[in-house]
Amino acid sequence: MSPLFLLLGLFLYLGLLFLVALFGEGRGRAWAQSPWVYALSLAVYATAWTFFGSVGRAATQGATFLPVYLGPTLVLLLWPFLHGKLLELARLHRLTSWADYLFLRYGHAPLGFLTALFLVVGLLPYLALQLKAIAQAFLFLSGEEAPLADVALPTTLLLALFAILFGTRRLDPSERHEGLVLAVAFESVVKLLALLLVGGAALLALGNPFPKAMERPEFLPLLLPPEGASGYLAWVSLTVLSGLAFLFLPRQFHVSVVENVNPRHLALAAWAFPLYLLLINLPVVPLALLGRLHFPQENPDLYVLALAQEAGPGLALLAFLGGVSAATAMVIVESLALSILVSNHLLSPLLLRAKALGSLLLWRRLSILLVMLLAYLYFRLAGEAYALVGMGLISFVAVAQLAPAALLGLYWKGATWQGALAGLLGGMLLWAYTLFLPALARSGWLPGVFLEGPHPWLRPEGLLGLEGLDPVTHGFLASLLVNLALTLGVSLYTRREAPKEGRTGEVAALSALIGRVLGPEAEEGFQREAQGLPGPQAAARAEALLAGSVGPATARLLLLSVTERAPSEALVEEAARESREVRAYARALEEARRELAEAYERLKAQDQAKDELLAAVSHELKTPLTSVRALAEILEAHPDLPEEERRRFTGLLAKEAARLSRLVEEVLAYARLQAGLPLRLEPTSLKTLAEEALALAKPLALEKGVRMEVHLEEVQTLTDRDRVLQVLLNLLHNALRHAQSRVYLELGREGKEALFRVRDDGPGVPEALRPLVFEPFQSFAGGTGLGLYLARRLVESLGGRIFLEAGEGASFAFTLPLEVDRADPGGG
Amino acid sequence: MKEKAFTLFLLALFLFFLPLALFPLSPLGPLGLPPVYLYLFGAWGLVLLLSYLLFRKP
Repeated sequence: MSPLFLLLGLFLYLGLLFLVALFGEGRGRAWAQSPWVYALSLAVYATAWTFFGSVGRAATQGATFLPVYLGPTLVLLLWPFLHGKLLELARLHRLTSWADYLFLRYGHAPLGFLTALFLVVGLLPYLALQLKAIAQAFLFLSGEEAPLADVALPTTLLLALFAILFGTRRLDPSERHEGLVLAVAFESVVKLLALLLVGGAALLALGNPFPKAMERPEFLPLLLPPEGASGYLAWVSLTVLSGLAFLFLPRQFHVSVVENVNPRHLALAAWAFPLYLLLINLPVVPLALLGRLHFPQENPDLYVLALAQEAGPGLALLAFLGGVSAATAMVIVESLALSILVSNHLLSPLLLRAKALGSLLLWRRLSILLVMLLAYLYFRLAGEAYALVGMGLISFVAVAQLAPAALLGLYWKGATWQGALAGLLGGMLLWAYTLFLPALARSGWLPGVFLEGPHPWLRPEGLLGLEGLDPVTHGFLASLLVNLALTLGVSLYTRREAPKEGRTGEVAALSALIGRVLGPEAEEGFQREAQGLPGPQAAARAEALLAGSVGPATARLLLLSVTERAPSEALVEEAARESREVRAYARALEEARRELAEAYERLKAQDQAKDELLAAVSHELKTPLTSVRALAEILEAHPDLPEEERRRFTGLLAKEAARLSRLVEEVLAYARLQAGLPLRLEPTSLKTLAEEALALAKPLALEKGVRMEVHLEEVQTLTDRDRVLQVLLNLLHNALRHAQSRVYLELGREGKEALFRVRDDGPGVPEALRPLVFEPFQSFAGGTGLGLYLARRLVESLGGRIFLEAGEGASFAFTLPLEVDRADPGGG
Repeated sequence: MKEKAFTLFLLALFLFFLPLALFPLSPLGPLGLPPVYLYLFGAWGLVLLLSYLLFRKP
């Protein structure tokens, strides 16, 4: 195929990618924020390694290409535990990488620095792999013999330009890059379709490879599971390694955490992304077998292209673009993620010291270029000596070194920064010794001693004399076990530091700082957000904002200038406790004051009532007393009064004396009630009690010429008979005084109550006065005005009710409970 | 849901880590396809189906 045609295809594809990214930042923003695009963006995991390398590995080592995809499937099943927690932390603290998290968790700046440095070095082989894939594909299809490096360099520069344009427009990397995400999702679709089409076309053109493979004994191991304990151990190790890599690769953190717009998108991604991986792996084995059958002399990493070329130039170009899309998506996102790491943890602290923080964005762009050029350099140094998968796995083992410090930090409070640092250093050293340096030695850039080691027990690819493990499984197990042991062991023997002191500051000063570092737009945003927040919260918010852009360590240093130490938690707790006690004391005082005021008001009312009573009683006593005195004086002064006149006067005298006596009795009853004498409850026949009251009222009835009518049922209850008798007598005397010819007394049951009714055929109570009849000193017919009031108080003290019924004449009724449950056992 | 997700993880772990070399598998099986790949893709598909059923309503 013509190199010019291929170059044209490559540039047109990259141009299309630019357009997709622009669309994502404009009208396609809603698309870019959909859960499907999020799931597809996770497929940045499937790189040129997947597109070309998996077929190469399947063609040489059978099923061992699959664990690389089973690992992420397993990890995503745990998203409610892992990613859910991570997203929450990232949102709160604007995390941009695992290095940010390690600094946040352990509060030790060198840890972030070391992580960033190590990840850059550790991922160079992986980036180099992508450059190699593009260059290799280009040269294979064009038939050129030029060195790989000639094509890789311009590709490197072009991809760096893309990452700079769509990844570093703003300083804050924790903001979303919708254009970038949509471009990555688009590339995921392209590489999937390309591989499926190549696989389908190859099967159609060349037929089912499996029966043919059966006829070749050397193919049989490719169709069987890995053999022996070492094969099984390699399978399990590779699955675990891939799962950890999926979790800790900087580009995966970037797309799954930083670019996540909605945590709920994870639920769809948890099955949709593994489904993507399954689909893209479906054609791998057939392609691998067809490649070996038809191109036995060809590099297995190029089988996809060779088979596509066999089917025609169109499919070859599609396969080339599929591989390019797989490589470019990875390179763009990974270089962006690494540049953020470099600028946040390596450059920012230096620029702060040089008072040149304003140029951070420029430095971040330059760091993308630097990372890409370093990857190119690695590719020149070691790339041509390694298969694609072998290079990628070295990087996988490097990022897996973050696992002990990060996962123990997430779920174990006992992890200390000393433990994390020791584990990370131990893991890194072993990774370099067992994988990285031997890779360079194999390429001829280092002497052979880096492959053999200074002693048979220290052989880099067989420590302690271990034989039979492949170098990656060996390096992974050795480095991770040492890392884990150091992290756990050192953490157990070091004390966890007290949490860093909080800072507090004025919103105005914090806003000004944010304005200086992040610009006026960020300053306004912060002012709106922090308005009304307490000092410590505003300072924490400002720190998170700054940390997202300049890294957590630099953010903390910047804050020192505009904040001061917040009071310690113990002090705040003590103040809060004292404040709570003071508030409780004040509430108790207020309660006591209110009770005293109420008691005073009650006393005042009682005093007033007493005065009113005294005045009323004096008035009521004065009238009959005056009459008695006048009659007595007449009788004394006129001994010769006629007998008839004398009898009339003595009759009047007796009547007035009786009135005086009744008045005194009622006043005494009122006094007893006020004194709160206890009830004397006893089983009582209410019918007998009513008959007793009738007998006592009978003289008055005879005197008035009023007929008494009764209807009494037998009713028994537990009550104070004297009080009931007094109520009955009060009502009967009232009725007799006002009746014209008859008084009716009734006793019966009504539900759970006994009901007395006393009715007369007198004029009744005027409508306007009905609400007042049970109030004290409300006399409407020359009485004391205490009778009905006393009756009401007595009935209520017995748990009953008294009321005036409607109708002709006056009809008073009261009830008594048959089941005694009194709220006022003291009476009164 | 966390409990179900963890149970599914354990099931997937069992299916993916089954030591297939201990079983007498022939290179070619039903439909003229290798049983080892049929098993691996089948187990993977089953795990995906179960995770779809579990996570489709977050």
